[in-house]
Amino acid sequence: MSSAAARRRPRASARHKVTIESPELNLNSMMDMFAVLIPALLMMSALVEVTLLDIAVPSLKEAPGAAPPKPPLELTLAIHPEGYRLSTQEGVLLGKDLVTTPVNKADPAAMTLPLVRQRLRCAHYMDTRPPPRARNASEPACDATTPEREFWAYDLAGLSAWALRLKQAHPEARRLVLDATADVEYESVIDAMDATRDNVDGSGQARTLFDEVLLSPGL
Amino acid sequence: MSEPIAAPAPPSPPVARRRRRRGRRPELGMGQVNINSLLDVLSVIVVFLMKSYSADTVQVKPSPELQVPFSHAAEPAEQSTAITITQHAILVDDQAVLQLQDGHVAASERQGDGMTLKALRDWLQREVAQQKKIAALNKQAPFRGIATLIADRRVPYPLLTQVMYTAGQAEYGTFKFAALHAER
Repeated sequence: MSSAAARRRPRASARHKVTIESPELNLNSMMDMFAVLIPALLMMSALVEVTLLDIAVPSLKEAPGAAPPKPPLELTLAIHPEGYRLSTQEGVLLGKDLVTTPVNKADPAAMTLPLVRQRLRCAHYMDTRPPPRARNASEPACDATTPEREFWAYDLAGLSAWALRLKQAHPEARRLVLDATADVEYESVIDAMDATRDNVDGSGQARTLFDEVLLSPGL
Repeated sequence: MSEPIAAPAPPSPPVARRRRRRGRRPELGMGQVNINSLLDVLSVIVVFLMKSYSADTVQVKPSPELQVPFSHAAEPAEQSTAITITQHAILVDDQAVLQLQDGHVAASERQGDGMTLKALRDWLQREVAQQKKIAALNKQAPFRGIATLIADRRVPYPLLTQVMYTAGQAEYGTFKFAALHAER
């Protein structure tokens, strides 16, 4: 057979060949599922980074009022609505020296660090006020329009400085007994723990101060 | 007198050629959008979200009732029993256990020395019993007695110590406070 005849008549195998088009998958239902799944997962996932603070509470299984274990320094931080009171077994730390003074602990004037008036960033206190909230109740609450506002606040910088000096004087001490009056709020406890746990110097070097916090049943 | 309207200039040769070519273009049907790459992106997002969801053992969902304070601490969350104290209730692993009145537990809900919150203690004891049962069957998941407290920033100090004291009675010996991480 000539080559021209071969071109005219296709081969048998080619005549019976059925053209199969590749089927397209219908992905609409899968898209629908993703459209539901992604918002649901976004709603469930917390977009905030959570951190934890350790608490040593050996005394909490005992009866309230039981004396906590006494480390050598016996440093106690009492949070009052009037400020911070730091004390050791010898007395209250007053003034600027590491000298303890025996005082009446019920005296609100005997504070190591009384409240201070300072400008605070409003970002952490939206629609509320910083602690002590009872003292700041007459102040306007923080809102998005004001980046900073002046409030009565606990002297966290002063507390951190005190903790650093005490650590330098007692390098072996790690434990801090934390106590508070009934009207002190949880946020004040966290702030005080932050200020006494570690200190970062100007070069960015962190130093651990009092990282074993023991909560007392209350004043 | 109005100016005579000038006849339109013949299109320049390249433009005319383009028009001719456009005229010859065949009719196109409804084009189909290729969504394969979109599906690839969505698959990656779903996997990422599912992974991040399962990795966080402590879930904090801030709300007007639960405003968690900020902290500079940098300890990551770990597997534990979550006790949440909002302005109106105490929850264990997202299950409401005790209602609060003005941020306090009613005297009728307290026991003995006033530090024990009965409903919370009973719930936690059941939780501990269940965890110990799991630990007996699975050596990889021992009971460690860790409780993470997720508390509203306005919770009064006595309520905090009452919850911890009660949890201590239910064999929880290690406590952690959850806070939102903030830079110094």
